[in-house]
Amino acid sequence: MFGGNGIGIQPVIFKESSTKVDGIKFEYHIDGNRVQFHLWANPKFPDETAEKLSLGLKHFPQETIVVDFVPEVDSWYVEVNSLAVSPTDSLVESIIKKIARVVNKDG
Amino acid sequence: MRHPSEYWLKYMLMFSDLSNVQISETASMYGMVAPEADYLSSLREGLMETRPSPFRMDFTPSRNWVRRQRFLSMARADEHAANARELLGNVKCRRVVETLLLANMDIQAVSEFVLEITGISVHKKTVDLYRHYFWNRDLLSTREWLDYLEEYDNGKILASCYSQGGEYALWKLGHRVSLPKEEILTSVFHESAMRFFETSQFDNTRDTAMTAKLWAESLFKANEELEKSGDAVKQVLENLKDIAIKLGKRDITSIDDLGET
Repeated sequence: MFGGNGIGIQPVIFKESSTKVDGIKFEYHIDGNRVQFHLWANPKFPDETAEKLSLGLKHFPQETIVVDFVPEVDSWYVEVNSLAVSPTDSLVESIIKKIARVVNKDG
Repeated sequence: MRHPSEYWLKYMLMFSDLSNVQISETASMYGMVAPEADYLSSLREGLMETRPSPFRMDFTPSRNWVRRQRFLSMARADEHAANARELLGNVKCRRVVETLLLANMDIQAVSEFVLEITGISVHKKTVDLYRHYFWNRDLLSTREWLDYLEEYDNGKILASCYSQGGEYALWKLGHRVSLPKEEILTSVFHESAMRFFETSQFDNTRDTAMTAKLWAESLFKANEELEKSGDAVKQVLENLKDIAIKLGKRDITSIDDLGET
């Protein structure tokens, strides 16, 4: 089966962001023209996390954004897709900074 | 509201094939405050109305029009224009360049301080084009800048640099500069005097009296120091004059001759 070879599955490695956000640890993964984020409580998510995340991403068209709570792992999944420019680490940090502005302002 | 990256936005509208929403999203990703939809539409409209037809860069009227619109260097991807765009991704240099430009520092000085603070050499033409395309201080009014900075990362600090000038901006960047003592004392004197006069417009309460007293004290102290430094300067000048007169009496040709005086 499979020509005698096993199926190779590349691990998806998320990178921790250097931008600090109050109460949230950000990890991201660039995949083509989309960026996926895993958000972990640090130590506790801020109040109204969903609203703050959406506000921080308000400059992206709504249909290109996913903001979901994942109860199984008690974390948030955020995705920005169909980006006009290919994201790089510094551009992703820039997106996180926009979110940080909203979250850090309100505590 | 106008945007400090107006010329870059115009370039993007003309040459990038991106929609207004995508351009706004790109600006946001570059850490800029996203330009408003109406503003982008009006820019696009203005460009479309005036651009020559056919619009081709090998067509002289088109090139002249792009030059008049002031984004020719970006359209041609000139070296310094491309480097200016690269600065957007250089967090360290970008912060220094933006802070100093906003403090209205001269382009040459900005270039020198960037090297001193970050260790990275940025040509003054690159700084100038960054100013033109991305951080155009002259394009926005003070009110527009303050509104823009309210939304911008580290905007509060940048707003204070806008009004306080170069030395203050350098201090905010952690760079120590030597300050002329008399100039600082004069500033303290002036500020204290103005603040003292200002208190006359307040209600005559205990707090007002206390505020007036504190400013008056600061005023007197600054005055005292200024007079002191003035005397000291005079004294040094007098001494120098004496030395000059003494030296004039003799024809001094060597250090040894000087020792004999």
